[in-house]
Amino acid sequence: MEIDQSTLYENASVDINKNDRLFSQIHSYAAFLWKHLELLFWLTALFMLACMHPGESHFSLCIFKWLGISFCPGCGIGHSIYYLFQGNILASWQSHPLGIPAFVIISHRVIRLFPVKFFKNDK
Amino acid sequence: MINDNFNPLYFQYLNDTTAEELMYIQHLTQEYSEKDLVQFLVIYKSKRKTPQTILICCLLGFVLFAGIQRFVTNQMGMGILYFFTGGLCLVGTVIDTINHRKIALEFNKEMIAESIALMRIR
Repeated sequence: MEIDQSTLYENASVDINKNDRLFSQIHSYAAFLWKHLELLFWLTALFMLACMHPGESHFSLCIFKWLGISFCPGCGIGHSIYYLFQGNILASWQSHPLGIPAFVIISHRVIRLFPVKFFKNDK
Repeated sequence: MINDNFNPLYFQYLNDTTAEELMYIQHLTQEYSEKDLVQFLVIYKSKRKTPQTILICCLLGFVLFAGIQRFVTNQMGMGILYFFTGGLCLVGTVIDTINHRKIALEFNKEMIAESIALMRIR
């Protein structure tokens, strides 16, 4: 009985190709993440600050607090930006006076960092 | 003339360059004569910042005050924000330390464009 050599090797090569394709897919995701690391960081930070409402049991994103350093000059910026998203400008100012400029500066940086080819029309 | 290899003048005038920088320069100065290229390199050499400089500025943010890397790359708003919030509670400084090569490349690309603009005025 003749074994069909071509289909044997064809199946084997398809399996190898599948693993290669999976690896290259993961690699392309990782490359995208690395290329836009700062942009994704700012977008994630703004999104998280918009969602985390200041309750009692509140997980702190402040590295100074993690290290046990009591003095943190950026204290309240998170709450400040949250209040800004809610439209409460007075609470934002009281929480941290630099909240509004922080939001303006960060959004300007996000716009600068946005990939340009998004806006190009391919004609 | 379009060369396949990098012009050795690049390495004579610039130190600690990255491949992206060199490819960018090569792409933009393809039709330059040697005299123009030397002129461009001299102008650009005085403007650029190496990734190592940016890394040291980021690390200073852990020890001294944060934001130096942003001031050095002419981002005044971000620099002031980092300065007054301790590098956004150190998180911003960490991200910048990880990302220092991209910051240096972004700044150097702007400096290349400025140098070429200066060449045109001359």
